[in-house]
Amino acid sequence: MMLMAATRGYIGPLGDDFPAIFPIAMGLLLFFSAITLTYDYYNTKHDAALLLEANTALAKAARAQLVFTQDYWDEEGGVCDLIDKTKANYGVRAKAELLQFERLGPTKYDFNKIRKIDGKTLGDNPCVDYEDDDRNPLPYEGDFFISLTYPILLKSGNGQEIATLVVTTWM
Amino acid sequence: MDVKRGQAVVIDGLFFLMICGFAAATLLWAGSVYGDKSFEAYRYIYMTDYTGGAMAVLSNLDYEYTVSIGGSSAAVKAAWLDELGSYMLGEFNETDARYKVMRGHWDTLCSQAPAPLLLTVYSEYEGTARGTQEEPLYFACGEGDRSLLKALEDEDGELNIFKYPYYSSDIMSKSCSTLRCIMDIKIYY
Repeated sequence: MMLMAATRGYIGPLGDDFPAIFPIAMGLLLFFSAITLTYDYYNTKHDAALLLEANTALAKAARAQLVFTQDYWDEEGGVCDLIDKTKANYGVRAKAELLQFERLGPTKYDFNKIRKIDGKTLGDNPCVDYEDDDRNPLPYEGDFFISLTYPILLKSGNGQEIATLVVTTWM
Repeated sequence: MDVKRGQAVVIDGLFFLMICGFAAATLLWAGSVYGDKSFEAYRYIYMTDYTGGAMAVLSNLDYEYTVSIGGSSAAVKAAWLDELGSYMLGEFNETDARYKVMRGHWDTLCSQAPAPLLLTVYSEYEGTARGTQEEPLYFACGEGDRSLLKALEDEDGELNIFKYPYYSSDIMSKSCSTLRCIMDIKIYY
């Protein structure tokens, strides 16, 4: 009788611990899911920060020249070279474009018409003028990219024009 | 209360689940905060770099505009800052072609910006027609329909430039015509 009282409700070593397996498994699943989620989230943010850093660094180097000229855009050691360095320093791909909105009058613009002045990009290597390049130098669908604009001055005739330097960086 | 071994194991399991949940939540929170902070730091660099760049563009902008004299037109060289100073001194007003060209450059800058810009200009000298030490001159994006300035107004119609979050360039003192202008550019994001 005494023995029965001591073992009442006891259904074996496995049977007794079995109900605890569910919360433990849930806890472990929750914990490791959180690690994976956090890692993914941090990686995404880290990649975005890296692309942003590479983007601003490239733009800063390009804008060291106060007024953009066609020569600076084309010459050896110009924008093309900076794009090359960005890839070497940050391990990301980059593209630079000069854009302007079509001006219809002193204060009117056609925002649907963007005049692309010129564009340089780095394909695989070397720097090519992508307008004449058959390969697609833009980020492919699904690529993680950041495209930012920077105000610049562009030499034009006897004066200057405000244009936009668009720098795109992608993984 | 008498707790059986089986119940105790379940309680332990639930306690473990609670600890795991707490650890997971802490991890997610820390990861997102740290990740966001590093991204925000670079976004700050970009935005302040943008406003500083916009200021550098305006400060160095030289251009030509044409004037009609006696039926023939002549090209006049101008610097944007000097034109701004002349406008502040009242040498021309909003209906003048000079204003339209100067304003056109500002609109170009605005049209290509990723978010609305606001240029605030004070004159160091009193007695100017526009932009005194007390009352600044504002150049906003979309001033034609006053979209930005309208959006920045409080309920009582007073302009409140701090109403929305913004990044700002450094405050700069520039020579504009015969004046000294104190100015900054804000970008509202």
